[in-house]
Amino acid sequence: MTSTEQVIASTTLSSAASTITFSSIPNTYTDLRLVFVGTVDAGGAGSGLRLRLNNDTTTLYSLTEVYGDGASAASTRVTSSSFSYLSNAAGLSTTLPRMATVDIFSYAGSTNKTYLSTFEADNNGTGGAIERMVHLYRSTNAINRIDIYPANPNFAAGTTATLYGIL
Amino acid sequence: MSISSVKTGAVGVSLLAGNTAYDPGGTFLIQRVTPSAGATSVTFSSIPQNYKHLQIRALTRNAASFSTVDQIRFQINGSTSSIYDNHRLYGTGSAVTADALINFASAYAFFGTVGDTALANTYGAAIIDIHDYNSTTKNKTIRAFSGTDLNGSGTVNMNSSLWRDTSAITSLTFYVTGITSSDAMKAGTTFALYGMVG
Repeated sequence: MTSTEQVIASTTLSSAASTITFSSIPNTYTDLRLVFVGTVDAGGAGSGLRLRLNNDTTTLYSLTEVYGDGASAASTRVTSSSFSYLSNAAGLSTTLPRMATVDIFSYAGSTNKTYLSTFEADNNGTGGAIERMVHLYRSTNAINRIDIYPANPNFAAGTTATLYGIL
Repeated sequence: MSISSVKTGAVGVSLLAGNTAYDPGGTFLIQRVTPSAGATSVTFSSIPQNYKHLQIRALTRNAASFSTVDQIRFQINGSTSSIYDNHRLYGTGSAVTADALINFASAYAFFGTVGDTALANTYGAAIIDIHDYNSTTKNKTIRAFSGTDLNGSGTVNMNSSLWRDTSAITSLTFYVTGITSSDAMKAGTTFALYGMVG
């Protein structure tokens, strides 16, 4: 019996890179799950983590978020953005790995795409946050490409991202 | 009995009859339900007891005419007793709220659905985890992460629930509720039940 959750592709950077791309995503699954753990080089310190679907740069991305930063909890919203924020309250670090997960529902279906994301960043002090988001990508096209990237380059070597398909 | 590759030296497990059965582990789809038009609930019954944990993944929309986000509720083993406790943490885009719903007749996965006059072709999403579901000595703790975004409105929610019953879970019934107490689910709504091998 084959597991319902299967690895589509996995990348661990051997050198710094501005983007991790998953392309030619098969449409044979129901949902997708992306798991990210990584750091940035000096040029990317503090920058946010972002995601783009189908290399689409039009303003079709939005989100509602709740987060806690160790001092308070808050909720924010982003509308009509040209990319998807995966972090909004805390940034990427050059030394401390951040973790993110993204669950995209019915990615090959003909409805707008709703997805849930998590982001964890702890600094043993200030500057960290735990973030939970619900996203909307207002496109009824199937998703065949995912790009994940820092707001400021680059991901550092050792950064890893794995894309799973869930039947 | 193990076998090894002459070419690479890698050692594997022989699947020949008489050897120890190989259990690959992992997550397995138990059942997916796409309710028919007018359905007001979805039930997973006779849940097999050979997994360690359960996960439900849902994409839902109400057929009722309202434009806001709303709740998914569920009951375990058909129990309608007030033995469900819920703690919610949710954000509306401008405010965050933490509250508790104690001694309720159902568990919640809040804001994982939306009314049918909201943004077209848009559904709410929820991931619900039930660990150690078939224990007969423990009450059941449930975790839900859900939300709906409508590009200008919407809510994201984290919920924990307690079902104060030590029975193994054999059935789950899900409802979407809104203005009326028995809203129907919109076509395209799906609930999928997965079992995780432990």
